[in-house]
Amino acid sequence: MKIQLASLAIAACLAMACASSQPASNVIKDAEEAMLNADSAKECAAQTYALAQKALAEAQEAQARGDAETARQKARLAQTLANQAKDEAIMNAEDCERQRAAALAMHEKLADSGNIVDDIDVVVRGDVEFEIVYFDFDESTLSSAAVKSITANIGILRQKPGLAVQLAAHTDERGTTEYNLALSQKRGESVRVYMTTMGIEPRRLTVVPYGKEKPVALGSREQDHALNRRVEFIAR
Amino acid sequence: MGIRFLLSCMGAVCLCLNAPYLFAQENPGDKTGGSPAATSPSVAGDSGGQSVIQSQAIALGVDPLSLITVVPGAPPVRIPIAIPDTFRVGDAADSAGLGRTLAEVIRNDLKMSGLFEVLPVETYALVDPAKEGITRSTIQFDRWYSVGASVLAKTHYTLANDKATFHFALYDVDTATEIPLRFNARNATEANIRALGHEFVNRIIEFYTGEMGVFGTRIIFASDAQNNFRKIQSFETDGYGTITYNVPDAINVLPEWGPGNTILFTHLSSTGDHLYKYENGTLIQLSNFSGWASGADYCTKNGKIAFTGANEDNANIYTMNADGTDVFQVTNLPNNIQTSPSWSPDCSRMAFVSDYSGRPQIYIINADGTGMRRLTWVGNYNTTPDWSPKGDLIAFTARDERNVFDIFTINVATGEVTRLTQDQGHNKEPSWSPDGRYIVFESTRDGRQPRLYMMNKDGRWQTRLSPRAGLRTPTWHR
Repeated sequence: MKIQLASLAIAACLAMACASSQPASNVIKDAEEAMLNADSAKECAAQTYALAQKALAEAQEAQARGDAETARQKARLAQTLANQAKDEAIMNAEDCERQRAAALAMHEKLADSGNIVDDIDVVVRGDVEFEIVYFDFDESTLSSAAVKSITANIGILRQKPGLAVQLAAHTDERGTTEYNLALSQKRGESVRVYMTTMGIEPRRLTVVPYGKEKPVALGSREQDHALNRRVEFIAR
Repeated sequence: MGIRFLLSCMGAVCLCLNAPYLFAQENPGDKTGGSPAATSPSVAGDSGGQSVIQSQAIALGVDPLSLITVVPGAPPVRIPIAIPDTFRVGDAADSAGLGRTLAEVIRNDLKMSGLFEVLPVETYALVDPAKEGITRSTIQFDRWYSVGASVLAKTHYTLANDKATFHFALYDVDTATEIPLRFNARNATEANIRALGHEFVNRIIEFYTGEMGVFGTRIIFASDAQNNFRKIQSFETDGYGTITYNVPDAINVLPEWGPGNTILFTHLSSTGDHLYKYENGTLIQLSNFSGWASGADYCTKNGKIAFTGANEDNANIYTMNADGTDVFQVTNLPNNIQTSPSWSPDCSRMAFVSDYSGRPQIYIINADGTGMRRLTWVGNYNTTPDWSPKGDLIAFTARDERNVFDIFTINVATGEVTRLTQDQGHNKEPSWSPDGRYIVFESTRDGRQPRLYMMNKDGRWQTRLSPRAGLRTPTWHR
């Protein structure tokens, strides 16, 4: 902690030294960028992040009323604090990940209970439990495990003839954005085509490709990748 | 050329050391007053021919092309340039730090250009700045020669009644000659000081290469936000001036520059993936495929958007007008992925990705759907083609045998493949600068979340644009 305070002091000194010459708007921009960069530290270094946020708001206020000197000082402070928040978050990375996972779980629980409805999170209808269909690396063909999961889901759809589903298709984080979008679409299509040949009406099935943009496992281990290569059935 | 360059320096140093001011008087700058047309031979070359300014400079005894011509096989020579601090005339206080910002912008741009070796400011101690102004008669060329500079970029400014006026001058040190940039005086505020620095640099680059530089142009990208959402933002080449576009909170990806002031992007949501156009705060949905549509590439020459689409089948390449009308299917291959179209500079053809061979490879096709041919034959994951505005090269992302992603170029005519990045994390999603000299790309070299970098088209001088993390799929405005 001592080291952190010392580095904060040095950074503040540096900030004072150059405070008089940089345009306030540039300094505020730098601070805003530092804040964006520290965005992921919001939860794990909440206190420092909040202080940075406050300093930035004060800098913007000062700039708005034409007090460039104060704006510069506050923006420099915000930048230093934001950088510090980021460093703290990195130092507490493990705790951070745990907290984040807990927050995510809470968010999903609320979503399930219908308290949060937004554009992306789809509320799953209470009694329907579909299996997730998984894929091999760079593959859109169906493995025997995948066919087993789809067959179970077909069973549910046969019991509930009024139910339509969205096939939300995903890849792991490797590769490029648009090819992954196309690959996830191909996975979704594999599932859709198999289901229609098994007698499910095409109008009950819609493929929505997400590519690598919406992982469920946030790590980079092979087991994380395997969990992310998936097609989810979402009741509509 | 190395010897020629050396000889010209030797000649210049004799003159400079013995009688610099006499030399300067013998080569008065006002010779530029003649008709540009009369002194501009049209020389076609790789750099786009000789500009009027260059012709004028040659008439003055300065040969810009001799400084940048590269001997085949030899490393490119960077021109040593000195950029002293912006000098303030008078005692008025510069509370906004305009002068300091200007010098920083100029030094940073010239470093990033890869064309210049920016000499460190500490080495300027040989020169007594108090004795120097901005006009040629006051410049100590012999001292600048001793510092090691071939070129000297001078700026100064006056402050009066809250108005700042900046003056710019560029000198060839070896011949003690002012280089006529026609960029002399400008009024500046905090709002435009960075733009002035970029423009000065762009005109310096124009003089030495025959083509305006690209500094201060914008790069658009997707930026990580909460809940896996992505915002669409853009900033200038040095990472300043971030604009956040007011698009809905969602997963917004693959931004692209559209006609005029518009931007195009792909919006992923539970109601399907669609292409949108954003114009002055208004959103227009362009595609209405029952399946999905993604990845617009807009061509200014024919006003068409190329994109990937699917109607409850596999992905194929389509084109349409910028308002979403007149949809035309370019590829029609069943059971395969066709995606990521990139127009050729004349918009007659496009490069795209297909897994027709089993794995993703780069292909070329005419805009009317004829003449499809495979371009890449090495590797088993070649994606994200971007056709250079010069037409000769296509940059792309490839996965190598170690499962690492890197940036490569392929020569369209010869098929020659060149690797540009290696052993620096994963490097993906290349996009060419408007002059075809640089490539912007995302890389994980400084952390797990990608950041944006640029490099010369041969892979040299890789520079990070901004410390911000979680920036993806950059596209340069061109």
